[in-house]
This record gives sequence, structure tokens and C-alpha cells, in this order.
Amino acid sequence: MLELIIRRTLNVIPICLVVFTIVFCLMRIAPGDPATAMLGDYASAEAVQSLRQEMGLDRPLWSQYLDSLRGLLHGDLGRSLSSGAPVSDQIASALPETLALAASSLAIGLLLGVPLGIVTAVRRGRPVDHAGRLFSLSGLSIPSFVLGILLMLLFAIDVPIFPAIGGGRSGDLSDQLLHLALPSLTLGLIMMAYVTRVMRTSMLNVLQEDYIRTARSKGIGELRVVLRHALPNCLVPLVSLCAINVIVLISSSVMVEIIFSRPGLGRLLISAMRQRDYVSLQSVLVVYAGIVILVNMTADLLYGVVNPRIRSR
Amino acid sequence: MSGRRSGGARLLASPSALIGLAGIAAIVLLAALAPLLPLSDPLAQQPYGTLAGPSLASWLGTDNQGRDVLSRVIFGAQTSLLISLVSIGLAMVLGTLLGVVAGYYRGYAEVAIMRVADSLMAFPSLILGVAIMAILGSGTEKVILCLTIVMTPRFVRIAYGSAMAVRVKEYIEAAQAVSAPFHRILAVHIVPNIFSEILVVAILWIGTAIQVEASLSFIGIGVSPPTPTWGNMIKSGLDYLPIAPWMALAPSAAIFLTIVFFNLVGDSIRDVVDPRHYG
Amino acid sequence: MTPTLHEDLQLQVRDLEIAVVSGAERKPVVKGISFDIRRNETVCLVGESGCGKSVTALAVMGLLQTPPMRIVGGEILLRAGEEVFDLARLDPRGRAFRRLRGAAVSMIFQEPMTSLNPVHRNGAQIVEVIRRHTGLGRRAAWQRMLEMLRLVGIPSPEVRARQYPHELSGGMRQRVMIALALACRPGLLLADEPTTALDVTTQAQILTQIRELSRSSRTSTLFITHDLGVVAQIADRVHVMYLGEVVESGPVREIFHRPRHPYTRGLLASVPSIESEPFSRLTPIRGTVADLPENPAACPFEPRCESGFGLCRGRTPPLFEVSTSHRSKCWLEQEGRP
Repeated sequence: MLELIIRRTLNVIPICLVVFTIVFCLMRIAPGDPATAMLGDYASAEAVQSLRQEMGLDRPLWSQYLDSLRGLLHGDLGRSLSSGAPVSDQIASALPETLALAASSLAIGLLLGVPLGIVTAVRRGRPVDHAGRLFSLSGLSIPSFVLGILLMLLFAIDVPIFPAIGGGRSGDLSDQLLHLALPSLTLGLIMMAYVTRVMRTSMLNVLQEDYIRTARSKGIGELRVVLRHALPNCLVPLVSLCAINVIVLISSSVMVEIIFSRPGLGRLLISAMRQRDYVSLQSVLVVYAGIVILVNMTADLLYGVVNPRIRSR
Repeated sequence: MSGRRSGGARLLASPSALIGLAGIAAIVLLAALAPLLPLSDPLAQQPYGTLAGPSLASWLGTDNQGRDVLSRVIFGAQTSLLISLVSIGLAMVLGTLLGVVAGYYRGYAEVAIMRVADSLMAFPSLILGVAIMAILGSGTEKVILCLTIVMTPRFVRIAYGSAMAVRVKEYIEAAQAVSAPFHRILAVHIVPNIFSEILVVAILWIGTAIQVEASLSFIGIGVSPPTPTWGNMIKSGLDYLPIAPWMALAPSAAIFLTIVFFNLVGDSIRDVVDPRHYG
Repeated sequence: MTPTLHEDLQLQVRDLEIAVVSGAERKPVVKGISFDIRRNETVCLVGESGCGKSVTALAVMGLLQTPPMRIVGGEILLRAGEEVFDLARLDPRGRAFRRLRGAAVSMIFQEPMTSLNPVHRNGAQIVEVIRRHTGLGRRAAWQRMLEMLRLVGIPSPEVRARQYPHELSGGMRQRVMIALALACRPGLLLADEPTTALDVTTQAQILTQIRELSRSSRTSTLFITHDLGVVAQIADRVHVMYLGEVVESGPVREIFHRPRHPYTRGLLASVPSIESEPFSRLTPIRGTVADLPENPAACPFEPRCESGFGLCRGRTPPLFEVSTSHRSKCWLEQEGRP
């Protein structure tokens, strides 16, 4: 297992490098000069020039690239062009908000989607199956910000149960959870639609397998056949689906954070982009890509846990 | 069971495919014929008729500047459909070509193409879109370019996998043995074999493209106002949600239904092509 | 009314009809077959694929794919201890049937590669059925499982029990399946082509294993195969099936040495035997299973039959008694005929 972790980690390093290089290049071809952006359009040429020197923008590209990379490895992401605060601090405060949102939505999606997927597969062709399929089709088709607005309208404006916007007072956990409710429900319902669908498909496939017939031939109950014999065999497709959809989830979290005004990475991304704060933007992009890479790596490792055939290799 | 019936016939036999096709046809027709329909000008402001609820005069109400919401939703369909269809088409052609080249030639081409594609796929699609729009600046053509860049790596992946699978089959080896030129092998052997798979994902990803386009204009970096798009209509509707919910709900419903229709068609085609999915 | 069963018999199937039912349409798969299995006896169902032999076994197990398949008539009487059950009337999903399945009647399937659950260890899959039916504790069930693995000839059972199915060869997996099927000492074992997927040497070993184990544990066996070589090795009695009907049945020696039905003769002629002349030609049965007579009332084998005559095209023959133990469903048996 440890060997597997190490091997996966080594595999990921070149991808990380290419990702970083892409981000770096993107930021250099972006229009506008960071120094001018920082000082405003009316700053004197000398002031801009000295700031450029201070930021290292006058040095050759490859040395800027190496500096950037070295800074990233040491956790020093530079200072924000708009606020002057260290970017690493901004990210440290925004990242937990986004991760909490993603984790709670994933939990909602799995806790509700797995049972619904099983029930629709076992009751294939019955009313509950049709209802389940209609639900997954809707969930797969609704953009997160549309669902977010709908939920906000229903549960924060028409029937004000939950707060509409904000992240909650810091240090007040129950207030923060209350503010997390609608955003995580938004993403959770969408996640649930994906999980229900893949669970139904793979359950239907697994229930056709010979070993399910063997299990039935032992005279055990149908519930045990489904839960103990079929379900574990559905986990491989479920893990790969979750890996893909956590990435969709991260994408959607940007929109949800904007709608519900949550102080997460998504808001950092948008405000950095609006203010042409390339230093922050570059770091936020790298962090997002890092999350995706980590998720994929975790999924690779989970395959081994849920599938004995991979584990023993 | 119905193996002898053609794929097309089986597709038309499925009610969900019919609903999807009819819905798409209706939306495309409405968008294309929008200038000919008796709609009010989507840009015409009426200072005295702002935030009016749905009525006989304006079926879906008016917005904060007194513009007719129904008319804006229909004209918004033009922009959304144009952008998503064109960019998916471009990404499909470009991505398939790159993927097939990578899967067929191997060597350096494979390494270079697949490394870049994998790295671009490490970014969630919307976030990559935001980064690219930050560089390009707003505008319809730029959104198309941006979406093409975002969607191409996905097609590269699919085409690469399929091309590798097709490659090992002997008919390609036979074609190589008589040393047919690459474009001929591509046209006769590879593309027909992977076409159905590519087409299914293309149709399903039209929905993704519509979502990303709407998200970008919602954020305010896509197609710039006053051109109506579903995304920027929802954005301006969000501020008036408690008093004029129709402003956000009408374009929301439009996006939702459009994506539902495309998904219905995509799923039905996939059921015909690959029955193991059980739709 | 409790069904009754002659005390010599373990299983009696009477006029069993199975059909694929879709809407009002019924396509018969098994058309009223009757046969019985005595205690400690091995009976073979022989026939080409698609003749309904596997479906018959699945019906006895209560594992028919319903829908679309359904028992539409007849009885399946099974002895379980002191009691007799009519399985055709028992709800296959019900508690009563579940108590019999795996305990009074169990089954070995054709595909050893896919019949064991890939995510559970070999031992655990056998322990599960033991604990379900015997009430043994975890440790006692584990011991019983090891004993079963040893009985079916698996070397170092402690190690194999802790491995997963993919770590075993096909022959080993089929042995695990046999251990699983016999773990609760069922009165009746159904074996559906258990050796077809294995190579020839493994085949012979597995056959011997099944025969010896069922003899020593006093289990009756219904053995389903298309392979007459297997039949000769294992069977006491044989039923030959064609298109959902039993066309000939009798003791194994009778069937091999004095076959009466043209289909059985055709089957035997198409198999090489050690006694046949070197370089002599094998004669296949003409046509395919799909060749049906134009007249639905005619003998179903008529289109492929070498010795058919006028009567065959008019009516289906009944099952004629050739001797007290030998029956053939052919007009050739009618008295006054050659």
C-alpha cells in the first residue's frame, strides 16, 4: 500500500510541473502590466519602473519562473497586488470554506444517492424507478447557480428557514453550519443525481452477474444479496464517478460561493480576476489544480481498497 | 432483441429521444426565427414599465429596465445556442484529430499532446474558462474560443482511447501493410469506428458548454451586456429575486429545459449504441 | 393438502411447463416434462443447448429469471428430510423456499470463473451458506468449511480459504463451488455443465469428485450436460431432451447400447467412441435445432429425422414404453411397426 502511494505520488509530479508551467505562461500572456495595475493608470513612469524592478518583472522570464516555483515549494506565494496581503494567508482563510462546502455536498450526495440508486435498480421499471430517473435527469441538467437561486427563493425568501448569504460569524460553529445549509444542499442535490444514476446502472449490471445467482442459491435473503454481494462490486464505478464529479463539484462551487456570498476560493478567484491581481490569480489556479490532482490520486488509491484484484497486484 | 432494427429506428422508438428532439427543434426554431416573431425589442427600455409581473402584454413580465423578459429569453437562446454549438463542434473536430494522431502515431506526438491535455483537464472546466477569459477579455467570439479550449482536451481523451483500441485491431494493421496514407486510414478505418462514441459525448457536453457559457456571463466575463444571454439575465435577476423572481426564473427555466432536452437525446443515443448503460 | 412422494424418490417432476411470458404472449420453453430421481441416484439430462435442460434445473432451484420466465404448470416434488414440498407452488422469493435453497437442494453452475463473488474471500463464501442453514457458530462453521475444502481435494485449505477467487485456477474455483454446494449436505445436487468450461484433465478429476462426494454423502444428483462421454462416466439413468421435451429415458446402459429414439441415435453417432472403427465417419444430425415442423401438431424432431414417416407429420407421438424402465417418444415404438 505504501509503495502504491509513493508510486502514485511520483507519477503526479510531472503533471504538477506542467500545470504550474501552464498557469505561469497564462499569467504572462495576460494583457496589462501587473505594476501598472497595482499603482493605477496615473502613476509616473519612474514609480512603475521601480516597482517592476522590486517585483522582479524586469528579469528574464526563466528566472522569474524559477523564483515562482521556488516560492511555491516554500509556501511563499507572494503578495496580493490589490491588498498587499500575503497570498498564502488569503488562501489559508478561503480554502477551508471551499473544502467544507465540497465535503458536505459530497456527503449529502453519497448518503442520499447510494440508497436511491440501489432502490431504483432493484425496483426497475416500477414507479419509484421512474421518479428516480426523472430526478437524476433534472439534477444532471440543472446548473448549480440555477438550483442555488431556486433554493434561495424557496428556503430563504419565501419560507425564511435558512440565511440567504454569507459564511456565518467566524468562531460560531452553529451559525456557520446554518449558512452552509443551502449552498451544500445545492451542490449535494446535483451530486446526488450523478450518484443515483451511476449506482443504478452499475447495480443493474452487477445483479446480472453469475455470482449473484450463486448468492441466491445459498438461500439468503434478497436484502443480503443486494447489500453484501452486489453493493461491494458497485464501488469501483462509484469511486471513479466520485473522482470525476468532485471536479465538477469544485467547478460548481465557484458559482455557489458567488450566489451565496461565501468567502471561499471561488470568490477569491473572481475578485483576483476582476482586479487583475495576477499574483493571487496564479496561486488560486494552482490550488484548484492541486485539489483536482489530489482527488484523482485519492481515487486511484481507493480503487485498491474496494477491489481486491487491484490490491494484490 | 431488436438487433435487426437500425439504430435510427430504435432511437425514434424511444419516447425520451422524441421529447428531446422535439424540444431542441422548438428551441432552435424559436431562436432562429426570433426576429420574425411578434416580440418586442429585447433592448427597448420602458422607464414606466419596470419590474412588471407577467401579464397578457408581456407574458413573462419585464425586467428592472422595463425590457420584455420573454423576448430577451428567446433572443438569449440565439447567443447561448450559437456559442455552445459552434464551440462543441470546433472542439470535437480539433480534439478528435489530436486524439487520433496521439493514439495512432505514438512517440513524441503522443507524449506532447496527452501531457498538455491531461494538465488542462486538471483544471475544473469553469475555472479554466475564467482563467482564459481573464486573458482574452469579453465578447462572443472570445467565449467561443475559450469554450473550445476548455472542451477540446475532453475530446482528445475519448478519441485517444478509442483510437488506441481500434489501432490494435488487425484491419488497421492490414491497411498499414499495404501502406495506405494516414488521412486515408483515418477516414476509412478510425473515424467511422469511433464516431458514435464521440457523437454521444458531444451531445451530452453541449449541456456542459451551455452551463459554462451561462456561468461566465453570470460572473460578468462572458458576452457583455446589453446583448441578452441567459447568464447575464439571471445575474441581474438575482438582485431583484425577492420582488421580481420572474427575472431570474424565466432564463433559469430556459437553460434547464435546453440542457434536459440535449441530455435526453444524448442518453437515448447512448442506450442504442451501448445498451449496457440501461439509461 | 401436503404433496406425497414415493419413498424411494428424492425428486419427482411431473408435467412441468415453463414459458417466457410477455404480456398475453406465452412462448413455451419446457413443454410438460416428467422425470424422477431416486435416492442416491445420479440422473443425467442430455440435450443440445437451448433444449430447456438448464431452465429445468433453475426452476427446481427457484432461480428462474422472473419476469420473463415462469412456471405455468406441473409439479416439482422435493423431499427435504421428513417433509415433501411442491416447489412449483412455493414462492421462489418466499421464506419457505429460501430455507430449502442451499440446504435441501443446491446447485453447481457452469462458469467457475464468474460464479464466485470477486470481493469476498473463498472461505467466507462457504461459511455464509453453512451459517445460514445450520446455526453453527463462526468458529464451528469455519472448521466445517475447511473440512469441505479438504474433501473436494483443495491442498492447504487454510491458505486457500483466506485467498480471493481470482487467486485460484478455474478447476480450484469449481472445487470451491462444489464444497459450497455440498456444505449443508443437501439431499439433491443440481450440476449444470460443471465441467464444460474446464480443460480435459481437470474435467475428469472434477467429475470423479462430484460422483464420489455425492455417493458418500448420500446426495442425489441431477447432472446436466451435452457431453455423452460425461454421461457414460457418471449417470445411472438418462433423460434425453429435445426442444423442451423428454424424448427418451432409461438406464444408462440401455441408452448407450439400445437407443430407440432417432434423436438419441443421432447424438450417439455424432460422438467418436473408443469402440468405433478407426477412421470411420462420424455422422452429424442433419439440420439445426431451429428447424421446426410446418405443422405445429407434428413431431418436433420430424424435420431432422432420418426415419420419419407420414404419421410423424400429423401428430406428436406419446411416450411409449419400450421396457419397464425405458421409454421413447417416437411413433416407431407403436405396436405393429418395425
